Amino acid sequence: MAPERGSQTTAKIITNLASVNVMNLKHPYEKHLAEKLVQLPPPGDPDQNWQQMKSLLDKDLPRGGGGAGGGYRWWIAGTVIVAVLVGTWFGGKQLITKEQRNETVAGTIKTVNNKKAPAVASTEKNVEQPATKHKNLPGAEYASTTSTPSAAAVTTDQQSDVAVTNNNGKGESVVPDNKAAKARSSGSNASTPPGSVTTNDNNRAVPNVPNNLNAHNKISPDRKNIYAADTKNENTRTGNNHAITNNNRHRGVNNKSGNNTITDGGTVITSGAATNNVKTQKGHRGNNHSGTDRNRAEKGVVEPGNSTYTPTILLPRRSLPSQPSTGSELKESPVTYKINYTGDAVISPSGMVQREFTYYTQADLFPDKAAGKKTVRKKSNPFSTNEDKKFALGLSLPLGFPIGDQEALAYNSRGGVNTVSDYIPSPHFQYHFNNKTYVQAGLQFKAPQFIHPLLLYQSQVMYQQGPNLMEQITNITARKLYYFNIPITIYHSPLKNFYMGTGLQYSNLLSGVAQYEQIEKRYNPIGPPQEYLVKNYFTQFKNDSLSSRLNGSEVRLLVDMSYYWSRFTVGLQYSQAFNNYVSFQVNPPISPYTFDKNKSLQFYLRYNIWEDKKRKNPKGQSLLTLK
Amino acid sequence: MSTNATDIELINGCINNNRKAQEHLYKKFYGPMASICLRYTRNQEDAIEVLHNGFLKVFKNIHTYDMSRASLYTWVRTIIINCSIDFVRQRSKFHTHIELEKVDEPSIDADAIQRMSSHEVLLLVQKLSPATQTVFNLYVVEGYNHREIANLLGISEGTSKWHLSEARKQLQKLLQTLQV
Repeated sequence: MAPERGSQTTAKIITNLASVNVMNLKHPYEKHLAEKLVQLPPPGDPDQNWQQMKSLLDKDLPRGGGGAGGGYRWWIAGTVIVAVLVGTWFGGKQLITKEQRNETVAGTIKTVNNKKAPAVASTEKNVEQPATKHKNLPGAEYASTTSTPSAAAVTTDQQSDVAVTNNNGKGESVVPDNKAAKARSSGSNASTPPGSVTTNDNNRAVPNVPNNLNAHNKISPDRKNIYAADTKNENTRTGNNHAITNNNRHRGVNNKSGNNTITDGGTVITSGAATNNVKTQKGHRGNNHSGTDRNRAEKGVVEPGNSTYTPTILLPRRSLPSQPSTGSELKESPVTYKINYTGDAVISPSGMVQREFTYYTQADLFPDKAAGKKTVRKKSNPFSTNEDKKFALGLSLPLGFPIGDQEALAYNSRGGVNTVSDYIPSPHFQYHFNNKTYVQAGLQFKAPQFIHPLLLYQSQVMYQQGPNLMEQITNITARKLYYFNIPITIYHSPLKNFYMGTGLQYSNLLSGVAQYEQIEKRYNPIGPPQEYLVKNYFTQFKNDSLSSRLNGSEVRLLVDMSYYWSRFTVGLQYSQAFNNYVSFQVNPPISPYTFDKNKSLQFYLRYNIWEDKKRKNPKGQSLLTLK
Repeated sequence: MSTNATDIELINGCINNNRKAQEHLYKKFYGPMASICLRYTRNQEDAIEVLHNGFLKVFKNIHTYDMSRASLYTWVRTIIINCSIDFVRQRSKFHTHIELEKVDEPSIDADAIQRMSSHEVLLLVQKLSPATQTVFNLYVVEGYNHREIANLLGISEGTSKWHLSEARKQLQKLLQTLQV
């Protein structure tokens, strides 16, 4: 007998060949012993031990949320929440931006149109605008950094009742003639006394406008005079003129902005060291400056070289909040402007005229109009405006996916293999409150519902067949259900063309597809039992004892995300039933209760066949003209 | 036992971590697998513990099951046996190298075994030392040879043979005691 020894006490192997041969053979009693051991009855109760096993599984292999497909549910819920948050954030941002843009655009565009200009928030870009005209621009000034030494003085000729000192930034002097002034002057400027002179510096500040009453004098820039205080004033006013530039090459310019530059008759407005001496004639209607002339004036062009320095400075009295300390001697001008400009010009040491400017919002300038606008906005409530309402009828093509523990089944409602009937389009009806919100109702006559295989019926019969014990098991398992659905969903668009919806769906069970299985189990005296599948086929169940085990109708919650483009919509819809569609015991009271709720995930393609648009375009305007 | 359509559904359900499928699989193989565990352990509680650990491995790794290589039953049985071996190895020390100098084959009456019930045979086997019991089970009941056993247990073939010889001798003694 060989004693056991540890690995440390390894000794010489003495093998007995005969004994080894014997060792490799099984003894007859060992065969009997093996048979006895194989036939051992299993310990404990499988059902009881399954509970133990189940708790172990719950610990080691959790299903996530405790229900079938819990992970999917969380994934879908997470996706929806993220989409809502992102959509809301972007949508809100877009709305805010739009509102802000509306205010700005309203100010700018309306300025150009000379109507109800609420505010001008100009930028440097405006400096380059060749010609604009403005009306009723009460106080908006924009900054322009003037660095053009070659600014030209503009004087009016003798015919012109309005002297418009315009500097278009190209060093050209422009003298609008009387005709042009007449042509373009607006009635609002009628209060301007004849002969008034408005010195306007458009676009680029005209720092130094040599005075020259003689026409045809070219103005040569005098850098020394750039920083004259008058220039600042000119520039200050220029701010208003950016929108008033005229492109008229031949005619002088004029102005439609009456209130901005009102001068006293016969007054020559000049500024500082560089004075624009403009002669005006009485009796002329035109008034204001407002205008940039690109034309070389036929008359009244001031030759800078010949310009005479005029010490007399008549500065319009303007209400400036802070006068720059440029050292220039500004004298009070007899000309009184009715409008207060609040902008300041600051002359930088580098020779650039920098301006401080003030932006006015529409609300600041026109509180009444702003209030009126608010009222209008209130009226444009999406649920009260008739403009956007429209009806639509169309078809939806659904494509369902199994989710969670659901299993897809390629059999139709009759148990056949052709599943085309599962993709029959369903009609829908839409009512659009506006471009962003609509409600939709639909009819799905036979919508497939994937389910987890559900054992509806089971029978077990034991019988003896020769020496073997046989067991016949019959299982009927529901594999797919068909519902009649009426979904009602409300959609809202947080982003352009992107809609999110939620709603309810009423579902009524029509029929189902069941798998019929017959299994025979043969119990051998030795070894495990053998199973044979005898029958296996799919069939329809409808209005029978099987379908009565399922809940006939249910209500589901819908969550929807879609992209709406033209008449097409593609989207993803998730539905979850509020109540169980199954709650029963297969073999009461032994088998446990089976619970499950319907849920579905559908990709769909919709097409609106008919749309009743109530939106009316303004008369004479089409989409093209609007563009 | 070949893998049929029901098994395929069962496997798919288990892959999807479906409790119903797992329950079905568990109950389907409970009897034979629990018997295996009982043969390798000392008592019923240990057997159930080994069984559950084995099924846990089955459910965790069922996605790796290849039906072209073996039937589901064979695959599950292999896992359960491996779990049983692990259980025994955790609780008893296998000597890695033991030499056989001389073997005296005991003589056991086959009829005596025939007359015994399964439970009595089990009690007899469970009286062997755990390592010896494991080798005896693997060799006699499962049909492994010494090389396979040596690989499974991480011991030498000689050690496996020694354990088998030791089991036979102990069983002879036990049977003689019972007959007395």
